[in-house]
Amino acid sequence: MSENNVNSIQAAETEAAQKIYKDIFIPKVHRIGRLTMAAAFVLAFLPVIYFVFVKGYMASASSYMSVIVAISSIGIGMWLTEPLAYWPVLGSAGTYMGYLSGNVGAMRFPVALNLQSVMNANINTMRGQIVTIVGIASSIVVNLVLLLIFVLGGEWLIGILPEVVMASFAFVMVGLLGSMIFMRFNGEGGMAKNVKGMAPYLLLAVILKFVIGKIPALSTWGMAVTVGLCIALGYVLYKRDCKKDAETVK
Amino acid sequence: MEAIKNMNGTVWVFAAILIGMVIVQALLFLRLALNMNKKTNAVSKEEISQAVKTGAVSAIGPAFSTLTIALSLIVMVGSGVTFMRCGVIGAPAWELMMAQFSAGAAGVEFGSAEFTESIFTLCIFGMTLASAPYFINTIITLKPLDKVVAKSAEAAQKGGGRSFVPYMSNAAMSGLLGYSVLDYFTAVPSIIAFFVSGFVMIFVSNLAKKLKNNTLGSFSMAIAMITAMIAGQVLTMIMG
Repeated sequence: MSENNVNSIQAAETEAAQKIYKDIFIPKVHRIGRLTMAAAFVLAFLPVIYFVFVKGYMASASSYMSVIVAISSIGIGMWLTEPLAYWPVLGSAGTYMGYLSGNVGAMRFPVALNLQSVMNANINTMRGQIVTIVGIASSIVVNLVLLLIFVLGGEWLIGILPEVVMASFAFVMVGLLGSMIFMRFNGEGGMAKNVKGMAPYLLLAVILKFVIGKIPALSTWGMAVTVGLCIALGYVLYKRDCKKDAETVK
Repeated sequence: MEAIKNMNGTVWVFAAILIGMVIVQALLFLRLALNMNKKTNAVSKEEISQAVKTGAVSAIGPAFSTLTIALSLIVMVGSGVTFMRCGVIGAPAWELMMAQFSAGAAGVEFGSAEFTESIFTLCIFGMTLASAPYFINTIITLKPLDKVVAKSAEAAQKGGGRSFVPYMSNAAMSGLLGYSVLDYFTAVPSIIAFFVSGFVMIFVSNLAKKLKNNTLGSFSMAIAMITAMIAGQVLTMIMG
């Protein structure tokens, strides 16, 4: 067989493989992905639906609205941008799997990156897709098994912990908030810049907390009002920075 | 905390159903990948088993690093919700914060008598809401993305202008953190615990960066919270 023949056979094979990739594999990925994500969306809210409508555990509508406003305003940036940021590495199947099972940044993304570079497999090829799917599926199963062990073991552990340790869990939330706030201070761009970036909102929130505490009618809306006004302040600062941009261009 | 105890069993049933869906999806994609490999022979048997191993090993580190926070989550919301929320999308620290924001929205503190079944349901709703939109995003965007692989890359590069989205998320996040943390500034040990946690967080994460130790970095929040717990509890006992 001449070299030309070998090359043309390989070319024909990859062409056939590419056709399978484009015409069979990719449509199947989206059929599986879309169906399972839609099903999971419904299943995720099932306990809430059950507790509210079957058991009648109904908190006030205003607190539900506050939760929706507060969490949507924190989440929307991430909801819109995060999957798209990881998609170029995870591929579509990997993104569906990652955003159902979670731990994308700490677990699925490193797995995908690692496998693709070790095996020299581009995600936009059949080869890259197959190793990525296999690796992520494996990490999902192992993660769930470990989680189950931890949760069951954790409950047992909590049962035997002495009272003084249990009492210290009262400081979990304040510890979490402290580490979150200082972590953001310590983020990219340096402490001074981050503190300066967050200070106006933190200050506004503290002031609002005191003011709202004095007005009973506002108490259940406190969080939503705070977030809303902080975002409004954010918009003012955004406009100011846009103006600065325009001036530096001039 | 009676409410959580009473509802934990029921929550486990829903958790099992939802986690079942995660496993079903993983198996469906795995079957598709192996079928396609039979047709195209793109990957060797050895490489498949290497992929399985890499995936398994990489799951162990992050799982352990979230253990402490997961433990706190069990204390706060019970084992059923912890399994359900950490088995899909959520990470323990994120879920803990969402639970806190939800209870805060209703003006109720964790562990207080007002923490009823209704408030617990509201917390589950908040935790679910915090990640469910990701599902919708993937359903809507991924298929068109595959069709415009090249174009989307170009568009991302072009968008050089200033965007409002980072301003909004910083404003909302800072506002909520400021609003929530004041609830805990009622007793001296809590205030001390707040700063201890913050300083330990910065110290450990800077140390991890210096040593280029990613494992230490992923443990930094857990270490910060444990020191906050110890500091708060010791101070409470000293101040009696």
